[in-house]
Amino acid sequence: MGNLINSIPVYRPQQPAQQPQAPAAKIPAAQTTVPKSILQLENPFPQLQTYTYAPARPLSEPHTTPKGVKPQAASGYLVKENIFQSAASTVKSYADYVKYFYKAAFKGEGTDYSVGKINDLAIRTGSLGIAAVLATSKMFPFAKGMEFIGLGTWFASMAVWPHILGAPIKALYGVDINQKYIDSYGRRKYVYEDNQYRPMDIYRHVDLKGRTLTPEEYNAKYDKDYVYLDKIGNKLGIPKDINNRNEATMNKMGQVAVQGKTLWMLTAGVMTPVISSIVADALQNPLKNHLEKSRYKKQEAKLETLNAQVGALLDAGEKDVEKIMTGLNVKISPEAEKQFNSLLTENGQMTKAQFKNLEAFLEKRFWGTGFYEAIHEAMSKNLKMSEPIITASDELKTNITKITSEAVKEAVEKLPQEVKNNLPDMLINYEGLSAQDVTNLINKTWNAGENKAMDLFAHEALRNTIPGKTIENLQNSLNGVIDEDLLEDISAEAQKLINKKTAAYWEEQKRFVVPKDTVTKLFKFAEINNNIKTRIDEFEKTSIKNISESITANNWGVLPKKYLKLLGFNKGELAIIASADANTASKVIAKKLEEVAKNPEQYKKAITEMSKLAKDAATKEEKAVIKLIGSIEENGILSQIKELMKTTAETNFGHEMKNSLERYYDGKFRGVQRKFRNTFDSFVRPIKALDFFKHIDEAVVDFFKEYNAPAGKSLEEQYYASRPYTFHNTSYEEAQKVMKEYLEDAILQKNDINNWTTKFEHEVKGTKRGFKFSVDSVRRIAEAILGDLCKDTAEIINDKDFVNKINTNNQAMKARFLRIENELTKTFTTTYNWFHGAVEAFANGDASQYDRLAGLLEDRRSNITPEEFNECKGILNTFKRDGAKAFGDQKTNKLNYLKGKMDFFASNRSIAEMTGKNVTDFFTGAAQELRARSKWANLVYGLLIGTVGLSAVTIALMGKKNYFNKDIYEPKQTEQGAGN
Amino acid sequence: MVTVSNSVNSQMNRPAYQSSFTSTAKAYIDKNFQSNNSDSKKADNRKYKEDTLLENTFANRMRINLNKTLDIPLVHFPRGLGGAPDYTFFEFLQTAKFPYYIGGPILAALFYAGVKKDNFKSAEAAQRVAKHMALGVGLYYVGAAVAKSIINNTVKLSRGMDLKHPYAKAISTTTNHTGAFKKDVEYHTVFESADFTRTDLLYNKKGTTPKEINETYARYGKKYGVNTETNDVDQTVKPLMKKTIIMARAWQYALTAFFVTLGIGMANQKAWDNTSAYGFKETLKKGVFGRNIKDKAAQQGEFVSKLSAKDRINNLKVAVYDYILQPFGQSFVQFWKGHNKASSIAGKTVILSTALATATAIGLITHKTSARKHKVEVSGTNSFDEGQK
Repeated sequence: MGNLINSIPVYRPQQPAQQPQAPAAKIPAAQTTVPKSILQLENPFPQLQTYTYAPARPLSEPHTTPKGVKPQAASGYLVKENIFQSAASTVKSYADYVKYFYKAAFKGEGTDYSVGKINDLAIRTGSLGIAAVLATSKMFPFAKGMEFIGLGTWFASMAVWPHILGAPIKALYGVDINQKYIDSYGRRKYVYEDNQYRPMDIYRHVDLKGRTLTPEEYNAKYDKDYVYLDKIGNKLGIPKDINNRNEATMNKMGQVAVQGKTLWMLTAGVMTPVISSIVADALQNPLKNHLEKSRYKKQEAKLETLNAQVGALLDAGEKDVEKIMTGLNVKISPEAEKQFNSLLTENGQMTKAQFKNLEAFLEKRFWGTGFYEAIHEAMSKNLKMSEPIITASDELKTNITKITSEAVKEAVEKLPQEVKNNLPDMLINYEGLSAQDVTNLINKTWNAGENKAMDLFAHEALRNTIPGKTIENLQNSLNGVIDEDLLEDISAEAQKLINKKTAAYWEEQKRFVVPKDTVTKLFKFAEINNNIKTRIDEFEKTSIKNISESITANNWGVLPKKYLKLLGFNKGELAIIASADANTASKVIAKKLEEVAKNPEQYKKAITEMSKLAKDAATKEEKAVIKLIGSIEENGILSQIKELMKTTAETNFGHEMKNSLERYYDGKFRGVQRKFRNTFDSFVRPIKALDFFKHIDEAVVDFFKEYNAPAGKSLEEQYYASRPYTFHNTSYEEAQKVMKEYLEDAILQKNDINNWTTKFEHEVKGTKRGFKFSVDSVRRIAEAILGDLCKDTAEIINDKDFVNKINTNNQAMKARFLRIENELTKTFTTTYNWFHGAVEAFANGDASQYDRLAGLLEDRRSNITPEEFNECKGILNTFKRDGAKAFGDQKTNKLNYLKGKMDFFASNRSIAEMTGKNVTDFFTGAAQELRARSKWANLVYGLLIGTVGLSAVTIALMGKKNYFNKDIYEPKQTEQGAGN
Repeated sequence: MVTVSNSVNSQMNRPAYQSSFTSTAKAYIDKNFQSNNSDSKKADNRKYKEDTLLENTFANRMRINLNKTLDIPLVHFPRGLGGAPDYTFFEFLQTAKFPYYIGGPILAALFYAGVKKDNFKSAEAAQRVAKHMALGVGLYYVGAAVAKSIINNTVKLSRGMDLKHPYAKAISTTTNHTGAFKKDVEYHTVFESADFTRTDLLYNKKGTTPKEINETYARYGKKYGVNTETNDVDQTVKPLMKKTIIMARAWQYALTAFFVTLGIGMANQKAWDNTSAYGFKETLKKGVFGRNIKDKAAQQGEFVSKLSAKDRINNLKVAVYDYILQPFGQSFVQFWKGHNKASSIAGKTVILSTALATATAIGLITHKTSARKHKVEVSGTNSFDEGQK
């Protein structure tokens, strides 16, 4: 029996025993100030000292309450709200915090509670400030947006983590560590904020679901108070038959809450950044896509507006600069206009300094626009602004007289004194050329006359005649008067001095003619072009330029990584691709591509998915490209603009300006095309590479097939013989092996002709080196690497248009590679001209060539004039319609025209711009990103799993009896009211 | 003696009292958990038997800080994870410092983990960003400290009160039953609470006359501008002190928001790109603390350094100036100027508003807490209007 009794847990909330053996009954009743409990009077365990728990209870009746005033009932209650309500009340409470701040900071009024809340407010405001400061330092909306997303996710995860942690604790133990209550003053507080303060009262009228009811409602439903605490007590495993069970429950709740909140603090430092990082990462792509779409849409609409404006002006045949400016809604910034006007002069004449200032202004304003060149040319050549004039004014005449007088006097002055003494007065006080002489001189020059502007030729001519006339006059009047030699000396010296003085004076008098109207018109015209450039640039930035959030950039961010995943590279392979040199990386990629090519299932999947991705990406960009440069069916906006600007330039500024601008817009056109070609080439090259790997053996056999074996020998045999053939020193197998490796490497790494033509001979031993020996080989390599997709691959892709696009791209690139001017050129423009063959076939009725030729023609678009383009288009369409019979007698002419225009010549620079990334580079970049991502993922998920695991273990151990909580309860013996 | 009054003293929120209810009931109270307010023979060997005002010296405060920091992992976390019944709000606040200090660095580390390190170019760029992030974390804490110190000094200079003045709170062993990870002292500051300011600790308990007893209050009173010749100057000063504490705390928090923004803004400037932690470290290691290597070592081809004390001081100056002060100053200028329109506006706004807020805070604290701003009620007694109308 004793053991049984001992095993009953007894709740003993407080006092220690002083004399364990002393029976409780012996305690004198007089020492207590409150009535003894029944337990103390009738102790059923006399062998034990018994103690009981006396609830907090006023020592005496509350006499202190003034009469007539009732103490207010405690009106605190538990808060029960869902996550949205909770968020709403949090937001609402910030308004209160602002009030708290005002009162505390400006009036010094407040409490610890209200001042503490100011801290929350300050942290949020400070963080917003930080995000704003960081956002302004970022260049792109995406980066700016991420600052705020980062901030948002940071605070969200800070707020969410205690709830995540709290959920299992609540489920297991019924204790909600985030439980809030409103106290009697209306302040929101956490129930477990201060472990030393347990607001038990608020649990009195709480129903089983945790809702606070009014006492009336509550009493109608339940026959005792604290049913909610009872329920929690059950969950916590508090024995039912003990004294003061609710307090025991509250204490146990306190234990769990302290444990939960400590765990929260232990993990928050890790989990806040981890969750924030994961969520922000997940939000990156949606933000990117949203920005891409919204920005593109906006710019697309703007481009449409521009298109409509240009179209309207073209239709109206407008050539007036002012009207075009209005039509395109171009506005010059007031400051720029003001500055420009301040540089002009009323009479349209400028000193050298003024002219330089104007030039500097224009250069600065249109620097880097690409058409400053046109402006400069217009100013100096067309408008003759850089040829200064001098006006034949009275002042000029007087000054010429003065200059000649001074020059002669100075020349005389240089003579020795004794010579000077003997000179006539006329020479010593020489008066210079007479007014009549000067006027005569002026009248002799071209274009001269009273107060007329002399052009460069005229005033230079005038200047050159002045010394001659002066000396002529001198000699006429002094001949015989003084010594002839002396006169010669004086004349020579005077001539020198006159030249010097007039040169200086001319420099001073030169005026640049800058007619206000003309130069203003030029300025406005430049502003129009600048405005158009800005508008086009904006559109390009959202679409084809590789700038954050553009379509291209987003494609580049996604596609390479997806390709890598599709091909199924493992971690080790990724590491090599990411960090090893290109050759090693290529080997790994080659191995993987071979593997995939060998497995039909995998091959089919990879080709299907990759082509789908490439198509989606290319289609999006192509849409933008077509808008700019048009397609074979329609004209793009750039051609329209070019047309408008050409006519306007020619009408207003002449031919030179027209040509400059035409060049400028053609360049723009080509830029767009190259950029797109580059992206497309990069995206489809891996597809071609995979296709190539599938058929590599055939390609190798094909490569050697065309080497004719000597009579009577098989192809295999010739490689053993020492004959003057290529590959003659190698066995057939070995030659094949080497060639295979070479081709693999070429398609993965070397998308440049220079590598094909100069390196492969080295690989295959015995090959004669030099271009003239390699023509054949190079052609075959080119065909293998940049030929059409194989039939089976085309079938898998199952999209005729897209396959055609890939093939056209490869063809065009192939042609470009082989058209660099070198020893190969001749061969490839004549013997091995792929296009000519296609053109011939088409002209002879092979309608299937149409798509290819149309594609190639589009590729040529930027290299030929619109007229030529239209002509070619017309020829193609006629052939398509009429077949082989088209054009009758003219057929050969038309064909030659087509062949001529569709030939591919390209400069090195444009090839470099058009060539996409080679496969290895393409995968290396992606692998680096994947690896960085996986490192991040390892760390972030490692921390996440570790922390969650630690939390799970801790939560499982919560609320248990432990070192701090001994869980000793006192069995309930009799009815008593202690708080129950 | 067990009395009910004892039990009344112990409110229900006090911890459960333990006993070992195992096989025998005889020794059912673990000696470790025995209360000390009984006749227990156990000596009270607590360092502080009662709440004690500590000397407000730098060394003392540092010692306390160290103590408090060590207590976070050694005392507060174990006690909290165990759910100690006598766990206090103070302890909770102490544990809350842990996430505050590790959150930022972990975020920076996560960022750094996510950059391409295989690619030299992007790794370099990322390192630069990571450096700015780490600096940002650092300057964030510096900014917070500066904001605090501005207010502390303002209050100290204008009112004589040191908000950092520490006291040791003796933890009653009657409630501290838990033995291991025991906690018998908490270090607080006298003015940390506006509601329950420990003004009691400020009386000179050895004093015999009101003047002696109230000497601290008289000192404060002089600064506040009240008549200190009264017997109960403390009563006049206390309400003003309360007001000061509230204003000071509110402004401390508010200024923190401004200064951390300033700190992050400055950390984000180019000025820091030119300075490196490595260079700083090496300058200190070789230039300041470098050993002077003897000739023999020099013969063996080692690096010879002959540094005079003057050189070392000079190098220290270089280290501090070139690696800390100069970039700090430059980053401030760069933040003000900005590198585009938006950032220049942002920089100027942050700097100007920080300056304005600081001036406002100092102005308000010195102006509004002065006794001259408060009406003194002359109603015969020496009563004083608290100014809380």
